Amino acid sequence: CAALAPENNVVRTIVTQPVPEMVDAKAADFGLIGRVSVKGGKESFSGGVQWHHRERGDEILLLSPLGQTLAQIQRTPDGVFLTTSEGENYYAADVENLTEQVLGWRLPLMGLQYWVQSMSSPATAAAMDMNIDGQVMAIRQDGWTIDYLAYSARVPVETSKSGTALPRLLTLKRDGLQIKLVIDAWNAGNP
Amino acid sequence: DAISSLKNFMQNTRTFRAEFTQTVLDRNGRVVQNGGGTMQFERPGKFRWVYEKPYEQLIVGDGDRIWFYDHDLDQVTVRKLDVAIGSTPAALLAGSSDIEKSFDLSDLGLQGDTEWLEATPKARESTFEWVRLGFTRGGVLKAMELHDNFGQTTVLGFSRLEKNPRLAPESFKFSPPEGTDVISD
Repeated sequence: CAALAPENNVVRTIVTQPVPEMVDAKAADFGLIGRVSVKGGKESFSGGVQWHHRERGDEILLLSPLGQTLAQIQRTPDGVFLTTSEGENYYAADVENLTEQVLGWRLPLMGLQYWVQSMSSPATAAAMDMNIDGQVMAIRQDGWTIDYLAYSARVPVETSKSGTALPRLLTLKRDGLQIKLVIDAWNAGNP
Repeated sequence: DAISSLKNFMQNTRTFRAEFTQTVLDRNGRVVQNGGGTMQFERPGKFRWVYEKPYEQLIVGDGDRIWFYDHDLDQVTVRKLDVAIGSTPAALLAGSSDIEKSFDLSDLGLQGDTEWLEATPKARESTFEWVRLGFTRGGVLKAMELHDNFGQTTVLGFSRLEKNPRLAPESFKFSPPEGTDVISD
């Protein structure tokens, strides 16, 4: 599909306040498959990602460029578990600390579940830059800057609740760390 | 049987070229991704794996290092060949001919018209649990299946396979495009 580069000038910025009653809300269920590259952290990473998001938990597989699973991250109601392909198990209360400790870079999962759908999280304040077509160009939230470089040209059948076109290429930056995410498919292969 | 086909393949095939299809199945056997492209090998340690679908990606082994170039991410990852190749299926196909040094082989017999074997890596910290190779009765490589430690299976089918073609040396060289990030471990 041709990557649709959003009309790149920002015409307005919306500032959203946290919505208290939504604080522990989670984005609706989805599944996505893509590729991710990380640089600027203690460690770098490049490879595939498969993410199954449910209200009650997440499962993320990080794959080598050749397609073998390197690590599995599972967020459950009582914490986050990471298993490496060598079978080592790690636990932490939240994903960012766990991936920082084990993989050498922070994965802002709680915000990402919204950001991958070009929405800001209701849990904290955010600023969103929009272009003339009303498409989100950037979001600034939780200390992260998320830039939307391309949207998928064809809107998949099961689009997110908001029904907007879904991002295809986005970058997340914070304190020198840069995560680049290409989204190849949505809702494919739910367990 | 498949094991003698593999040994014959390793000894008598110094270079080869083929088209491949690739299907990735999750641990529940559901198709997660379909793709394909072309691949070339020159033993030992040289290969060019070109993904055309589902996205542009290039993997080149130049005999010393392995380069992964992802067009969309505009990024190159480079690793020492023995570290990266040691535990990957490319080791099987493009590695040194003494395969039993790093894999235990067991014959799975005939299924349909394909003879299968299973290779389990001896190195404990490999990223996959087993690899299966399928040959025609005439000893031509037909398929490869990789099962990683989390139950995910990558199924490769080979076609239009050429044995010992003349391959241009440049196909096993890689220089990162201008301005592309290069990440090396």
